[in-house]
Amino acid sequence: MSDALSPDDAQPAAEARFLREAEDAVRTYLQDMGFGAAAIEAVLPQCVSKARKRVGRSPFAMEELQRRAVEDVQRRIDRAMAQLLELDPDDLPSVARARTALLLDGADFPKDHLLSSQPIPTEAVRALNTHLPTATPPENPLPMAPQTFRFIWNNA
Amino acid sequence: MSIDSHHFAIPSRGRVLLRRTIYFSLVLLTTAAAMALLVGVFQKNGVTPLELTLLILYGLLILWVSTSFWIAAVGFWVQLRGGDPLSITRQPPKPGAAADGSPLRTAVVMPVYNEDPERVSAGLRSIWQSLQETGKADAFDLFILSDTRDPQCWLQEELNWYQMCEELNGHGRIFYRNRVHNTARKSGNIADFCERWGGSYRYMIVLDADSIMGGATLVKMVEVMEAQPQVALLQTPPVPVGHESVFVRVLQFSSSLYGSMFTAGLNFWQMYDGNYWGHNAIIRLRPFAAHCHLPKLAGSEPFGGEIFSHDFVEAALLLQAGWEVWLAYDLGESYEELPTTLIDYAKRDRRWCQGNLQHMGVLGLKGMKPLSRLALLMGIMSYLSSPLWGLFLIVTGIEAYNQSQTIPVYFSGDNWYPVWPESYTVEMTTVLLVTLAMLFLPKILGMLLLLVQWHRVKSYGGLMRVCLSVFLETLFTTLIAPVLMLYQSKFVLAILSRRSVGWPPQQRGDYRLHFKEALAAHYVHTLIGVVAGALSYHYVPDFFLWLTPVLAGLVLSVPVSMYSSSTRLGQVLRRWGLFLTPEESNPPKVLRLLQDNLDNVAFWSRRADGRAESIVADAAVVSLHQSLLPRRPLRKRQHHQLRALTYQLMEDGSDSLTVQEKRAVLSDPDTLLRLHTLAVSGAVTATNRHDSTS
Repeated sequence: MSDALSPDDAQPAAEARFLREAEDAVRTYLQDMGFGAAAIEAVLPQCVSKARKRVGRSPFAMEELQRRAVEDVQRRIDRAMAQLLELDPDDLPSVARARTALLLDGADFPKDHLLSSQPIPTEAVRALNTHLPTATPPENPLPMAPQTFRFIWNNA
Repeated sequence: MSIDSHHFAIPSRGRVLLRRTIYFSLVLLTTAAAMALLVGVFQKNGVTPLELTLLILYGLLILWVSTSFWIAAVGFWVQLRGGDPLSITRQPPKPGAAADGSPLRTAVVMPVYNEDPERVSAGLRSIWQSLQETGKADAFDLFILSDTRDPQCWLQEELNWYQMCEELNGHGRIFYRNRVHNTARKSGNIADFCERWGGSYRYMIVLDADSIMGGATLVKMVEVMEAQPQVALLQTPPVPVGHESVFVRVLQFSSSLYGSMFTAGLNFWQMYDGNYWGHNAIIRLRPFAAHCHLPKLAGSEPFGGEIFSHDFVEAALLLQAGWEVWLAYDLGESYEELPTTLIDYAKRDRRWCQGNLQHMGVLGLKGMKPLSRLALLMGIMSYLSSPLWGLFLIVTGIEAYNQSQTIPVYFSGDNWYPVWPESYTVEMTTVLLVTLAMLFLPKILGMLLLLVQWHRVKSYGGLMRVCLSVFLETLFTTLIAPVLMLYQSKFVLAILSRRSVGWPPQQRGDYRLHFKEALAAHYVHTLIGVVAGALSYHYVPDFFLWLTPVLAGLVLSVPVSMYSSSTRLGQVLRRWGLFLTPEESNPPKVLRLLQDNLDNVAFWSRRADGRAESIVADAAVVSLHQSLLPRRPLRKRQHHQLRALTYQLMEDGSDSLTVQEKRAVLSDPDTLLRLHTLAVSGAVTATNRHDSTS
């Protein structure tokens, strides 16, 4: 467990376990997304300590710790992506597009820089932009004229 | 735009009228001749009600058989002469394609509904790669129009789409859309495409989920449409390919060998009043949008409601508006896949049966062209013929029994001379031979055509093998015909008694039937065969002999259905060169691409490490899904419902949620993100996580 998480005095065993599990969850999450070990270890304490502050100290709240820690790291990545690609951070679909390009085609992208706020080369940003999913083109409606069936046995 | 006031002279009305006169005269004369023979036999001693029934049934059936026979015969003649000079692909170009002001771009659209995502992706990749090879792909865009409801299938489609864009450099050219509500099924799906993006395109090429089309054919279709501005729809004849079970290989072989003859024959008399088969066709978007937004039929299913088989009706409406619809019978590289087992084939028939019978409610449309009504009637008759045939066999059996009970009276009244019973063997044999000839002659004509085009014989495995294949194909289709007759009769009766048969997706992949499944599906057929055989053998032994081909098909339905579903047996027959088709012996590039793509397209199983259920924890897949979801405001109540579903999923597993509930969870970006976060943070237990999207 990292130093940042060490309590001022002896922690109850349950709380220590929750903190350790939260760290593990965030570490695994970031590893699965392809982030490097150094970047992960650097960001881990910040995420978990922030999550801990948000959930308070009650044993019930501690169960939320893992989720809060994962949410924190998600927010960090999304904010970094939004800033990098000049997106509105509240525009979830756009941020999700950027995250998709990063995770599904970001093999050559310096992902770790997103966690450490290091500058990212313009070429890498440009390359990422070309991999943003574009599900549909701009709409250009061609209205379908509703048909009415008239039958030979109807006089009208 | 309307071209109702225009008329283009090629081909001339006179020539088309002459062709139709020839064709329909041949059909009617053949029917009349066969009927005359039978009436001659029956009327000698007066026609009984049973005989009258027999005559009516035979009349309808022989008319149907004759219609099909003369299509093949005329097609044979056309092919023998080196093709049809009046075919749409041979017409000189005309100006005016750009008159509607639409941009010269084509959307290739594939509507999908819970189909195998990997097959869909592999097929689309092949089409796109083939299109790229033409050097003219810039004028085309590709749309996957998903109506998929199954949650896992939905996620798979999205991932496959993105991977396809990545690997084929298709970002901004290959598109994916999943409809929130699948209103009006496939026709609604297409209408939604038109109403959202139709204005950006002049043409739309409609594919089915199992369609494969070569790039050169797509380009050629656009060229034909550009050259013929009076044409609203151009249908290509799809050739079945791609599967290896015995059942499907026999059908692929027969379609390959005889199919072009039938399509040439059909085009001979249909000409510009052709039909639409729902896929592998190019459509001019402006007239389609103006005339083909189908209303619901009055009443409820199966005859009312949404029109299931919309294609025939759309073609009829385009023709009614003055546009031309053509069958480009001579365009190649247009393929589709067939169900691989007899049971799946019957399932597909069940859907098509309802679609075609529903057309009874459209037959009386005001202003519809006579040929459109005929096309609808032919569709209806293709299913009604089965119960008619069944009824014919029953009535014939009863009549044969009655005849066997008749004791000849040699002397009556004051007559000193014996009255010998008249023999009608010659007439009855002639009727039978004419009927059999019309059923089996097209196969011989197909063979003859192949012999004339000798260079093609090798691609069918050589002369000896092709002869053996035709013989075995005839045997096999004879065996399965009575089973299909019973299936279709059951469907017709169910639909006529107003029971809807639904519209379930079919099993398209290779699948080996087990004994239990075959027995469950065919035990009734076997029983009918045994009982009918025993009755006819006991009461009318002579009739029993005539009935043996039908009885054999029914009695052997379980083993025939089971063994014909075998892919391994199909592969053995292929190694022996039996039922070989040119598409198998020398596959065109687009089919080779399909095979390569099928071998390499398993992204989903690669990503999920063989556990597709855990995909909700995959940040990449969830991100992609979120990015594609439309942002819809939710009511407070819906928020609470979604949160409750999330907790239900966490506590009780995904099995406790219905498909609609799972879809609701996946349709809300916030709920999805919450579920994803819970999954990766361990709040969803391992057991639950593993089945969270299953």
